[in-house]
Amino acid sequence: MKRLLKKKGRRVGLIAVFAIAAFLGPARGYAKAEAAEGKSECIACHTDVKNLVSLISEIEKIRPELGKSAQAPGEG
Amino acid sequence: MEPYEKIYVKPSFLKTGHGQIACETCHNGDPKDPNWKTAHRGIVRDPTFPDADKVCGECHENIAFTARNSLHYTLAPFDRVIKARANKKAKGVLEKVCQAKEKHCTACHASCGQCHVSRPDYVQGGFLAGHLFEKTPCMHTTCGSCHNGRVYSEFTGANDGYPADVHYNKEEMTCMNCHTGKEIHSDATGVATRFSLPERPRCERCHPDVVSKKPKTNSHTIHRDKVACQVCHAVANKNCFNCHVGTDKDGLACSKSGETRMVFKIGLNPNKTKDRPYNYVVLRHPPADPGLFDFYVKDGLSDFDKLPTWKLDTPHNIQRITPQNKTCNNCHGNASLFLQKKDVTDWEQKANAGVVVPKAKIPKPIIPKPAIRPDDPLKSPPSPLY
Repeated sequence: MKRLLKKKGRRVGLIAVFAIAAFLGPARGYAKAEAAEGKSECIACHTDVKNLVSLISEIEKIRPELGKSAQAPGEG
Repeated sequence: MEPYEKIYVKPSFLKTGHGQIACETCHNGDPKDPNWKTAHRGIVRDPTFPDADKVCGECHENIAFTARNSLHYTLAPFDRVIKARANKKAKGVLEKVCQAKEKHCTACHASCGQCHVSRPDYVQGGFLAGHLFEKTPCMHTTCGSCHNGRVYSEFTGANDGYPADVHYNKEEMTCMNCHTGKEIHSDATGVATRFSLPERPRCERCHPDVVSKKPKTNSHTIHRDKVACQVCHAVANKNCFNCHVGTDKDGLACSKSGETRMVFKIGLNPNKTKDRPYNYVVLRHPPADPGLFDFYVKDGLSDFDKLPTWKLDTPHNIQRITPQNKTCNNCHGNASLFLQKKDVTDWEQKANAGVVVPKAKIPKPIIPKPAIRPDDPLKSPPSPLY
């Protein structure tokens, strides 16, 4: 009887381990996939040179305040 | 630097500690918005200024706590000097001077991010290395961006005909070898100028013999507390005159500097302290002028002559042998090395009264003692036997 109970206990334990693994596995995979796919638009854009090059002319149009006067010959 | 490089984030950054923090945590914006125009609404380009504590202080609490009051961060001495020279009598003038100061002078501050992540705003930013955080930034890109006008070009020998600093040339030292993080991040509250910062570089840290009781060389024994190290070991530095600032037709800040001269001038030490007890120091003429803010307000700096216009300086072009230290009389009796009344314009006479060297204080030439011949019985020293 004791043996039977022990066997059952092991089975329950194994099932629990598999259940947890089955739950966490995809979740971890999802997190990794999210990072790999660049779910953040900031990362997706700022790590893509081609994209930045094509956007740069647009960016410069809306950020003129960063410009420096051509009449600034002074030495720092 | 290509414009895209300024904002390109290296994928390797994402593997670093800082790269684990979500972009919007520091920069705001909407990371889920695929339209870059709307995604950047409310974006904070430099989250490390004006509050270093907000983002950097989360992890680097001690550094951020002092760095927010550091000289690079606050440029506090600018404020003190400009206010001392400003016209405080005429109504509304000081406000206009302060506005001009904010636009032109205070804009030169450097935040945590402008040294460790991107180039300073003064040179329109741009990542140093794809948003990687540089613990010790490259001096050519970071320090050189703001200090290239004078000390950086002196240090690296960029001025034609003038040698680079021996520490750079021979020892391959960088700015940060002397100007350590401890100094750069130190709290400068109440500090009058960079020369009175307790953490500032000191020659004796690496050259202790010079200030020891028995220095190895005679010249150090003789001059130790009388002249600043640079008086003997620096060469001509860049002096600028007549700088004026204004706003161009596009509303951008602009400046126009006048003459630039490479000269070497020794002056009297206007502020002797325990740390700087010298009688003589090296001087430099900075570009500021009473008409500096004329574009914004006339007569804004009416008290310009309240402070010397030839100022204490520590040129960054140190040499072991210099034109003035080759022989004693290259300096002694050589009046041209010393700032005299005739070197100073009329309106600057009063301002520089404390640093101009009067004729009586120019060291007299050394007259060499005649050689004593051992065969001369009258002049030969007594024999130790007697």
